[in-house]
Amino acid sequence: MTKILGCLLISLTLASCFGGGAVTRSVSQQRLTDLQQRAQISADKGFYDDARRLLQEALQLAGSLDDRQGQTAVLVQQARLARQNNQQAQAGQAVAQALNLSVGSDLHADAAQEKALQELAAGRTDQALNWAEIALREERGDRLARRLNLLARLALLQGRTTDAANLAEQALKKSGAEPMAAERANALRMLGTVRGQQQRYAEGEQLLGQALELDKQLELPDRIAADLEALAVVAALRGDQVRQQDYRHRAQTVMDSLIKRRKTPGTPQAGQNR
Amino acid sequence: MIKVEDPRFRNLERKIGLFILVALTGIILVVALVGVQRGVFTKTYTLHFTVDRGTGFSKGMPVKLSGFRIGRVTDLALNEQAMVAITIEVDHKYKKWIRSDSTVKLVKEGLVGDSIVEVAVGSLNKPEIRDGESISYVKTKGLDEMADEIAEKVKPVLHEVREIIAYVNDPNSDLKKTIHNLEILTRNLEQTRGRADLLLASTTRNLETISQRSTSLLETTTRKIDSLDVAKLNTSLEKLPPLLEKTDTAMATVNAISAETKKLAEQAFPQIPGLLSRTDELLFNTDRLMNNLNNSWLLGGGAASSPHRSISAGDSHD
Repeated sequence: MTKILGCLLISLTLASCFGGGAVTRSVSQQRLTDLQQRAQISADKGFYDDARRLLQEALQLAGSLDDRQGQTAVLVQQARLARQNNQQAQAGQAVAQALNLSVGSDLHADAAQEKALQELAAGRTDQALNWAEIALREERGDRLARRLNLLARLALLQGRTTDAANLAEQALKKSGAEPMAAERANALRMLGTVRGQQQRYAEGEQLLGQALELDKQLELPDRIAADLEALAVVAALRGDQVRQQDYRHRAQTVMDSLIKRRKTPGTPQAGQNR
Repeated sequence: MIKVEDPRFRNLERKIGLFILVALTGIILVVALVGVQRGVFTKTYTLHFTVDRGTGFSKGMPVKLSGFRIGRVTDLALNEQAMVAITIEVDHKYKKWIRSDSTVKLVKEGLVGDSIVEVAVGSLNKPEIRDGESISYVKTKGLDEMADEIAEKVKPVLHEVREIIAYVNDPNSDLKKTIHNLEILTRNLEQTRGRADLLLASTTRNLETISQRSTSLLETTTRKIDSLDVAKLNTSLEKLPPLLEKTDTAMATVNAISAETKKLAEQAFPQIPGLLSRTDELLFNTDRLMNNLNNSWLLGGGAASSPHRSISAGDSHD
């Protein structure tokens, strides 16, 4: 018994020495990250007021520490939350501050991407394209797939299918890392859509099927619905009305369920790892 | 020739002449005054009107306007249609009041006064009636006519009264039957009163019986109470005050506990939101600790995830 306890103690000591993780941060930094994570969880559950309060606390904490990176990250998160709640003015204000604070830092790409998404939400695709290009240019980390996918999405919206396909293929290549799994699914969806439009139906369906599988693994209902909708479009282009109806019905069911869940705040939302 | 030298006859002719002159002057003055009073010298003009009956009219009867005498009846005569043509004389100075729409009528001054001819004032916008023209006559009802009229009105009333009396006297009428029924009712009331008297007498007897039984019951109760053990009762009653004191103490304790609980609750309530927030944070930290343990190499996990950047921005299709 004593031997077993000794072994356990030694194991725990080794774990504490070598298993603490690659990144070592201060208590305040850890608290900042915690607040951000809690805000994200609250937002995913539908508690937007809580999320807003936590982000405000995080912003004050980052400001008190003169942590410009932290401030930028929180501001981008605030802008995203406001955009998702259709609070355009607040979203624009937050992203403008983030862009000012992040000049020269690797977070500038995130701020520019958020700005592009806001312009896209406002229907200004040209402005969105400018900011998406800035985001691509400013990207210095491993988020290249995200930037390329946004450009591909905009190209697809503007009807530049070839450009969209090229950009999506590049994004697909750059999205090997696990955190970019959602972007890999996005790239596959766009590529499958383009192939359908190019009458390469089998290839398109295959790509969209892969995207669907990935999104199901990631538990992203809105993306699952988008994949099914894209599959319905390809089936329609192919002339297969039975499959088209089937895909459309499935997409509708997923969206209906998602809407019902969003109407009930506090319901845990899937796909918090995107 | 004998000359009379009596001084009384001296200037006799002159004296007689003066006397006659004074007398004549007096007579003239009297005549003049009477003429003035009678309106002989007043300037007048005549008007005519016709009536079907001359009853009530007489020559010389006054003509009045607004109760003021302005002239008199001067002539009454039957005309060709067997109607009475009457002429009146009116002072000229009142001509302005008598217009073409003016009327005359025969009225009595008071209930037993003389009859007069009354002239109604005409409209000023109508032309004046000139001398010799006719004026409209408004017939007034005489007493006999008024009596006839009243008699005509009273006649149906009298008829109805007669019918009512006949109805009342009819033995088959409702009234007679009602009176008959009332008589029967009154007779029945007499009988009812007799029965009520019997009932009251019976009730009185019953009450007497009840009273006797109550007295007996009260006596029995008194005996029972007397037989009770007063000493035991007193002992039980003596035990009550300490018991009540204990109850009071218990109630006071309960009140104190309640107040204390209330105070504690008041102190605790403001802390609840913060407590919940801290609990939430504690749970989150616990969750993170568990994740870190899962990710530690000892339990087969990898390195910890990267810091806040991963959660700040959305993906390309956000």
